[in-house]
Amino acid sequence: MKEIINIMIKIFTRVVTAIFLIASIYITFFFGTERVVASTDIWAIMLIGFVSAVCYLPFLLEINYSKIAMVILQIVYFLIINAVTLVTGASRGWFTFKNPVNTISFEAVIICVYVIVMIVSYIIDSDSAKKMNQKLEERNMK
Amino acid sequence: MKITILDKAPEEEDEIIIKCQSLDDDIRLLIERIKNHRQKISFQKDSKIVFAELSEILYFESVDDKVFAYTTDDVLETKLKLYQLEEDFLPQDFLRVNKAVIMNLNKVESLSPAFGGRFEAVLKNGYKVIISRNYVPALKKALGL
Repeated sequence: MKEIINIMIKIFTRVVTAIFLIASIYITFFFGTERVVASTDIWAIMLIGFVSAVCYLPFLLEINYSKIAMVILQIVYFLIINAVTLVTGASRGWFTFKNPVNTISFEAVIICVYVIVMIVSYIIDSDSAKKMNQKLEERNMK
Repeated sequence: MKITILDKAPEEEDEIIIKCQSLDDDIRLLIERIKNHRQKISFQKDSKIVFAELSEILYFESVDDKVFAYTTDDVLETKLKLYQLEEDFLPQDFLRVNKAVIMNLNKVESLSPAFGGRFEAVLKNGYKVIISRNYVPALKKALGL
């Protein structure tokens, strides 16, 4: 349980960090450098981070998913995060569905955050794999 | 590590003596391997009881309440449950890597990341085994990370 909570905290941190990073660029581009972010917006970003972490739970359960099931799970996970972020974004006025360019840009931002988080996770896992392979090699040489 | 092989009298039993300052992980692993060298386990195959050396087994897998051992060219059934194998029979080289599989660490060729924080182990004969995220810390520990 402790391990699961630790991973969920990591997911929360990565998502929130990535949103802040991309949001800074997005806000500067669409609203200029003078735009002030309300504390409710920060809470909304943390809510998205929280939902991302909680929805990641099926990946952490002791279930042997097949490759196809894993891909489906990833797609469903993305769709949930996407829907939550779109609803939160629209209700907070981060974009409006009336403006197609705005909506497409916001969707691009969501995809960007998702891809960044996935890449960061993959880099971390690749690094772990590299270290483990090194240890395996040492072990096999003994 | 220096290896010295000494002659012995014909009536004497073969003996391995390890001279070390302290029992570190490397020495423990070595002892474990010597102890388990040629250790056999019984299996059922076509209503017969057959024996296989543990060192030949790539992994154990539980499928529909039955436990099978996979070697390079054979699949053997055992009456033991995975937890029994884990607790009472298998040396440290065998590690639980997901709910249904115990893998022989000595048969792992390489590891690579898979979806969702899981890893994929490619065994020396090309078989692939998924390592669940929950078992990754134990694997790292077993490898000394």
